[in-house]
This record gives sequence, structure tokens and C-alpha cells, in this order.
Amino acid sequence: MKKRYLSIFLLSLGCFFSASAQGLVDGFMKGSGQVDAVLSYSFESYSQYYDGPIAVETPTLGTVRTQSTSLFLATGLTPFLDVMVNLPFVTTSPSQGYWPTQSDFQDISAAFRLLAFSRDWGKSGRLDLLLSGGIMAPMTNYVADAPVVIGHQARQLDSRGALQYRHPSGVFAMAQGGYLRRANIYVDRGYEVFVPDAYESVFRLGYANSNLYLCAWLHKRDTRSGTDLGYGVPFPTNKIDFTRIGIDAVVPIPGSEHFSAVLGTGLTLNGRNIGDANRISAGIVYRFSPWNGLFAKS
Amino acid sequence: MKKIHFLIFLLPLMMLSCQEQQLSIFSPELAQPATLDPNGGKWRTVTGVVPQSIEVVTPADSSSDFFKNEMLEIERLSLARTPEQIAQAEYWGSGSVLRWNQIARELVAKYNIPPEEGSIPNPAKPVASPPWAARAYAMLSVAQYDALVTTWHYKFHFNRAAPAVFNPSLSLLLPKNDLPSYPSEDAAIAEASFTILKALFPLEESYLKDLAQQHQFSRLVAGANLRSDLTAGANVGTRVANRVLTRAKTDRMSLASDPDDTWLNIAVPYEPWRSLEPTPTKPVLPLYGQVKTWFDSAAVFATIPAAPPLIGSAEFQADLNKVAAYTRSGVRDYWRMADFWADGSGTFTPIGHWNAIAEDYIREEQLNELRTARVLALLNRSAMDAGIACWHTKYKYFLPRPSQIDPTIKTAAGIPNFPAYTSGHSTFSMASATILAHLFPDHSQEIISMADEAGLSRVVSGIHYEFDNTEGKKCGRAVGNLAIEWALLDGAD
Repeated sequence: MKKRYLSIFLLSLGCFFSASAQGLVDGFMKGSGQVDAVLSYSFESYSQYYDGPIAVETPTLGTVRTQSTSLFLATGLTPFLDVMVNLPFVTTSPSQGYWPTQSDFQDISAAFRLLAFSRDWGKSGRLDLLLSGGIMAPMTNYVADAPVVIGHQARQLDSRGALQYRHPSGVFAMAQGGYLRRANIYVDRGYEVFVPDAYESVFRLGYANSNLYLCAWLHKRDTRSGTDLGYGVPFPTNKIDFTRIGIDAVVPIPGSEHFSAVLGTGLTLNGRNIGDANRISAGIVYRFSPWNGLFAKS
Repeated sequence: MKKIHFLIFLLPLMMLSCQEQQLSIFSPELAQPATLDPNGGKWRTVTGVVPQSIEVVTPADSSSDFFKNEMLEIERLSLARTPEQIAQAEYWGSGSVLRWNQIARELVAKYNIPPEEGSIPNPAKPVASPPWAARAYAMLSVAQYDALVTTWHYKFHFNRAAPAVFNPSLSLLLPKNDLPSYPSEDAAIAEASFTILKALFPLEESYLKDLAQQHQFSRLVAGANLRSDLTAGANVGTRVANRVLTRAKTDRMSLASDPDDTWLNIAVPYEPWRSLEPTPTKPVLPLYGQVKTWFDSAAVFATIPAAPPLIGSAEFQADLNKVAAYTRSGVRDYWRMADFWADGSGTFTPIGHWNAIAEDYIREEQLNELRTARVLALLNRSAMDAGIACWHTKYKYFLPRPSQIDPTIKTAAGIPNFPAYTSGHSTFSMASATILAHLFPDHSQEIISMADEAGLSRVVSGIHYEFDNTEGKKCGRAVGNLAIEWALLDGAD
């Protein structure tokens, strides 16, 4: 039993970026009492912005570069229930023009993930249904209404469901759907505005064994409503859509029992009212078992 | 166990996705004017229109079949009101001068989009920059005000009571009002506003026409006016607005964009202003400073400040250092101020902001339509004349923005594409605040401190020097005082 969780642990890291970038559900539970602490860094940049659905140059900004450093913690309370928190520090700056760099702690998120249903067909593989819910809230009063910002300040409720199939060979496939509900925000301009809710879908195809994890993903966000302000004016009420694809990998660091390295990259295929960004990321995972989870047998 | 979990956690998922997006919509209460102002027809008009010169036919006698048929029409309408009609009557019933002012603000915001690079100016699609918008608001408010003075004259001349007086059992959607109903002030407001706004925004004509018709029809549905009230009021509105349009044809606005590019010849004894746009672009309305003023032009031009400190002088450098320090301070409240008062592209501009501020005081004091229009006509003339003085100053001294002198100065507001000295925000705002403080003395401190913050916001944003602000406010205050002089003599107090 212990051994099985060990391999699952590695698998579960695959999309640890998820808490901020791809939603809270990957297909793998942590295992009771396991703790993953992940320190990660990501760099993304864009020099084109989707003005409505059309990518245009942004001469007033040049290239906008964003760096995030995140601390992510997750643990399994039971074999069926995980909880996690994520805390990012974000810095974003334009290469041209007169808009300043913005830098601050961004939005803290906390979530649970539940293995709601599972069916094991042995050699034919296994099917899991996972559900998750999370909240995200700004940690600081960062600027949210300017051409260069680190976030939109809206508190957010995140609910998702995911279905994952795993074959004993290590191949897996997952489909995930979610809904992001955003609270209204009060902008510095002096009034309250809505931030549109959004649908999320994520698809993953990958291979995992106890030493290696590889995952190709597609992440699509469709905002339910929202504005298209003229000439690409960024504003929290905007309808922000995108389709991104990417690859994530987790590899154990040789000679170390507790550490793994996580690498990822992503690029934007299309979007609306958002930068046409590419991203790379890297992180270190420290995994340990300081407790046995709830309901542990003594 | 698994099954239970499934149900518990699926529930919030569904609840979240079913809730509807909430948009906060401001719906003010129905207007209940505090005064009747029977002498309103004697107030001084802005265009010089004499009410008697606009012919309004004597209304039909209440014993005539014509009158009875008109009463029958609104009685029938009152029995078959649809929820949509009720909503429309309440919408316009919350104060229709203010509603048309809001509509103008929305159109300004829609058209306040910088032109695309290299595009040819299209008169049908104006760029509603702050000075352009100042004139638009002024034209609208003046047309509304002069039309209402004329309307008031005839109301108390004919003294025809509201329909509900003739039929006390008539169901009303709006509060009872002792104002004589002929001619209808709503029809005058609707047609005056429609005439001005369609001239300013030609592509919006059909949208505006629908609104004007809906506005007038809502008065029949509400039981507030007869059709003949509307016809007479609409006639007044159209004719007065046409006088405003005639004035606008010769106010030199058509030359404000400087078609001959005379701005290229401005000579100053220091580094001249240049565009900081990624592709240098012609500055906004270089000859707006020559547009015809509403108040005495000699008095307006007497407010133009002396030259700014020379670039490179100790005084200038000290001010520049102060601006740089503001932008590097990291004080979060500076961003709030910058954003709150920015009113940049895609918004109703600073003058629209002051119209919105005035709206709150107008509603609080329950001013009637005539007094509302008077406030807005004073406010917007004051703001426009201040804008003319400010633009004149800007192109006289042609002073660079702080970031042109020191490119390391990053700004919390977009850098406007025109010279710095003096600050448009400071000038517009103090001109607006000065007249509003006079008209709403109970709030004068609060109003002036808002203008001070608006001016300061541009300095802490990094786009203006402190002397741009202080001299701009001084000029704005002086123009505001011209508006006060007018207000003291217009017969309303």
C-alpha cells in the first residue's frame, strides 16, 4: 500500500502549477499524510496582446515580462481527500513606455480535492472521478486597473470535476471541467464592477511511472460575459478567453529521497483581451510524511 | 461513503454555476421637485433667446372635444401599461435632464477613443477628447436650459394644469406635481437633447431618436402629459437647440484640430514639447484655445497664467524632482487618486466626472428640471471656458511632460498627448468646483477638496508638475468666478 502511494505522489505533482494556472484538479491523490512542498518559479512574456480576438503589437508596453515565485503546499487528509494552498509573489514589467513595474503578493488560494468515485478494472486500467472546490483571494491591495497589473483583485470560487483514466502501462488521460465564480470588485476609479465568471476545461494526456512523469495539456478558459474595451484597454470586466497548451514533467533528483524537479512550458494558441504569452517554469518539490492523515491506524 | 461525498460536493458545483452574473445598476428614485419656480420664464437665457419669440399655440380648452379625446388617450394607455412601459416611465421620471446628461456621458465615453494611427478625421465619428467633450456637454446643457426657460414662460402663461387635475381618478405612475403641464418640459428636454446629440454624434441618430420618442411617450403612459403638451414642448426644444447649433457653427471649433498644422511653428526658448506616443502623434486640438467662449472672452483670457519656470532652472528642477519622488514613493493611495481622477480614454472625461458629481447634489436637493439644467449649463460653460483658457496656455508655452525631460519617470496615468502646462484636470476641476460650491454652499468644502485632489492626482501620477497644478487651479477658479457672476444675475435667486 505504501509503495503504491509513493508512485502516485510523483504522478500527482504533474500539474502542481495548477493552483494558479490550470485549476486545482490533477488526476492523482496525494495519499494520506503525505505533504508536498513546492517552491517554483515561472517566467512568462508577451509582446502581442489580444485586442478582442486579434493579436496586436503593444508599442506602449513593448514586451511585458512576468515572474512568479510560488509556494505550494498540499497534503492528503485521507486517501480520498487532499487539501492545498498556494501563495504567489508576482512581478510584472513592460520593456517600453511609461507604465511602471508592479510587484506584490498576489492571490492566495486554498482548495480541497476529493476522490469521489473510483473503479479499478485491473489490467484494463482504472477510472477516477475527482471533485474539487477552492477559494482564491487577493493577499494585498495590489493595483488591478492599469495596463500592467499582476491580477484582477476579485475573490474567486473555483469548482471542478475531473475524470481520469489510467492504464497499467502508465498512460493516462484526463478531462476536467470547472466553473470560476468571481465576486465584484471595487476599482480605484471609485465604483464597483463585475468580474465575469468563467468556464474552464483542461485535457491532459501523459505517461507516468514511478520515475518519470510527462504530461501534455490543453487549457481553455471561456469567460461567460464581459466587455471588449476599445484598442485593447485592459479592465477587470473584460471578457478574457484563452487556449493554451503545454508540457509538464516531473523527474526525481538523483541521489535524493525527498526532492524532485518539476519543469513546465506553455504557450498561448489564441486569446481575447489577454497577452499572447509563453511561459516556462521550474520548481523543486520536497515531499515528506510528517503525519499519517486523519483516521490513521495507530 | 463514496456516494455521499459525491453528492455533497456536486451540490456547491451546481449552485455556483447557476447563479446569475450580477451587474450593479444605479436606479435613482423618482424626482419630486422641491420648487416650482413660477418666474423661471424670466430667467436670463444663455443664447439670448427670448421666450416670446418662440411661438407656442394656445392649448385647446378643457371643454373641447380635442381635449377630451386627448384625455381619453392617456386614460386608455393607463389601463394597459406593460411592465416595460412602467419601467420606462420611471426611468425618465427620475429626472430627464439628468438622464440625457447620462446618455451624453455614455456617448462621450464610447467616442473617447484615440484615433487609429494615420487615420483621417471623420466628422461623423468624432474623438471625444476632454476639450471636445467639454463643448458637447456645454451645448447640451445650454440647449436644455434655454429650452426650459422658454417652456417655463409658457407654462405659467397658459397655466394649464396637469391631466390628473381634470381627472382625479387617473392613475399616475409619477408623483403628483403642481407644475402647469403645457408645454411639456419633458418633450422640450427630449427634443433639445436629441437635436444637440445627433449633431454631435451623427452615427447615433436612430438610437437617440428612439430614446427621444420613448421619453415622450413615457409621459403619456405615466398620465403626466397630454399629446398636445408634448407637441408644444418638442417644438420649443427643437427650435432652441437649433439656435445652439447655429452658434456652434461659428465658434471656431472646426479649426481647433489645426488643419494647417500651425502648432509645428510654436517657438519657445527651451526644449519644446514632443509627443511621447510610440509613434509621435499630433497633439489634441492645438487651436482649441481659440474657440469662442461662453462668458466674456476678455475676462476668460485675462485668467491665462504667466510663463512656467524655465527648464533647467533650479525652480524647475526642484519641481521635477518632486514629481519623480512621488512616482517612486510606492504610496498605494497615489494610485487610487490617479485612477479615480484619470478619466482617460474610454471614459466620460474629467468634465463628465464633474457632471456625475453635480448629479448627486442635484438629486439630494431635489432640484426641478429647470434648476437642474441651470446648474449643468453653468457648470459646463465654466468647464469649457476653463478648457479654452487651459488649451491656450498649453500651446502658448508648449512645455514638455516630466517624462520627456526625465524618461525614468514612470507614470500612474497615461501621458496625455499634449503639452503639460497647465494641467487640464486642475483647470477643468477647479472651474467646475468653484461654480458648484457656489450653487451647493452646504457642500462647498467637500467640492473644493475634490478639485484639489483631482489636481494633485495628476502630479502624483507623474504626468504634471506641481506648478501645472497650482496655476491650472488658479485659472480654473477665476473662470469659475465668471460663472458665479453670471449666476448671481440670471434671475434664479
